[in-house]
Amino acid sequence: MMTFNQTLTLIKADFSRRLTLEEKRINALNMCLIAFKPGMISILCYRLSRYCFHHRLGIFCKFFSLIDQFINTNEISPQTDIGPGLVLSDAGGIGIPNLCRIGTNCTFMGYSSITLGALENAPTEDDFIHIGDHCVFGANTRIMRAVRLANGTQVKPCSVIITSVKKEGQTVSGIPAKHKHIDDYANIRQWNPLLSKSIVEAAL
Amino acid sequence: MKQSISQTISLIKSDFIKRCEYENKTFNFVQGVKLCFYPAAVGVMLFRLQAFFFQHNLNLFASIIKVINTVLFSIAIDSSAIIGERFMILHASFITIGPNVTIGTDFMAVHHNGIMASPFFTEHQSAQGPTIGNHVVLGGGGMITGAITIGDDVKVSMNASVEADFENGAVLFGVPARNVNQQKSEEAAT
Repeated sequence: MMTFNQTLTLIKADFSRRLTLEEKRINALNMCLIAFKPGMISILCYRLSRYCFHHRLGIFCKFFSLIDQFINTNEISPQTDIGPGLVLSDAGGIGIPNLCRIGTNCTFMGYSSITLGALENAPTEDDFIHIGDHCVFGANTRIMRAVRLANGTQVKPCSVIITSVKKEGQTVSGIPAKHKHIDDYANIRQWNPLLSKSIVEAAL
Repeated sequence: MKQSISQTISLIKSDFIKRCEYENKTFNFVQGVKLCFYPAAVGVMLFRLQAFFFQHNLNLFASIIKVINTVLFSIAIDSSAIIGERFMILHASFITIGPNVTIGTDFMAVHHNGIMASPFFTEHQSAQGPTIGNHVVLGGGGMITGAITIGDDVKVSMNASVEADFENGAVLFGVPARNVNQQKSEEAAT
């Protein structure tokens, strides 16, 4: 059961991550200002709807999901499990279904969609999409099957993923996605996808 | 150089004229008023106002207009993007244009387009976005990412992902994009 404090911690982690990527100081004023960005509204709605889902508050869960869909056209299922440090682009159009587990510090740049085909039986552990930490999704990417993406996978724009990625720091691209070069995962952890350079910790 | 209010109005007028030409209509006052109720044309108009406020250091107004544009029409264009006159968006749906992007005149985006600096890890770190020439058409779902240069009269097809430099008159298909015009001429030569 997820407590409200845990939800607040997750929201704080998301806001801190976005502020770090935009090279701004992490304080209360900046967090309030950044909350007006459509991408952050979307994350806030998802976290609150997930809290309501855990506490069986079905109406509020639906309400927060609907706000997200109206404002930002993102459709993120409250059943899906997303780690702290999520970054969504402001343009919206991101669809994430309920059979999905996403790691920490993942970035979705514009209308990515994670889709699963129709399942005949009840979903098992094999039917979940597992996405590792520090993954970056370019715009217009699709995931079509229950695949596993390793930590630091970089998905180039307009690719369609149908096979699992096992090596850390791999770049995948194309329709269907082919496995391209591998970068050092330690470098990818320090990469800033919003400003296209290494992360600089803001001076406090 | 800061753009004056009259320059902003003339830019908006040129966008509206391009839209009217596309729809085979002559631009006049009535058409202009009609276009003020058309989401894609209003999205472009809001971007011009956003750029005007940004250049005069009124960042608060610029960001408010950007949020309105994003929420109403899903058009998220960064204030620092430089876009030439006669800019046209066909359908107002999921257009993202990032910072440090330079686009020439007569640019047409369809829908689900993204033009931004590459978000992926590279050894050569560069926050520079794409530089795009004049008379470029970007098809539905087309993406242009990275510090690349694209020439004039280039056509990018649907769901193509452009990640390298291309010269004038290229026709681009695929992920990553290839120049179909060049392939045809090479086949004819052999």
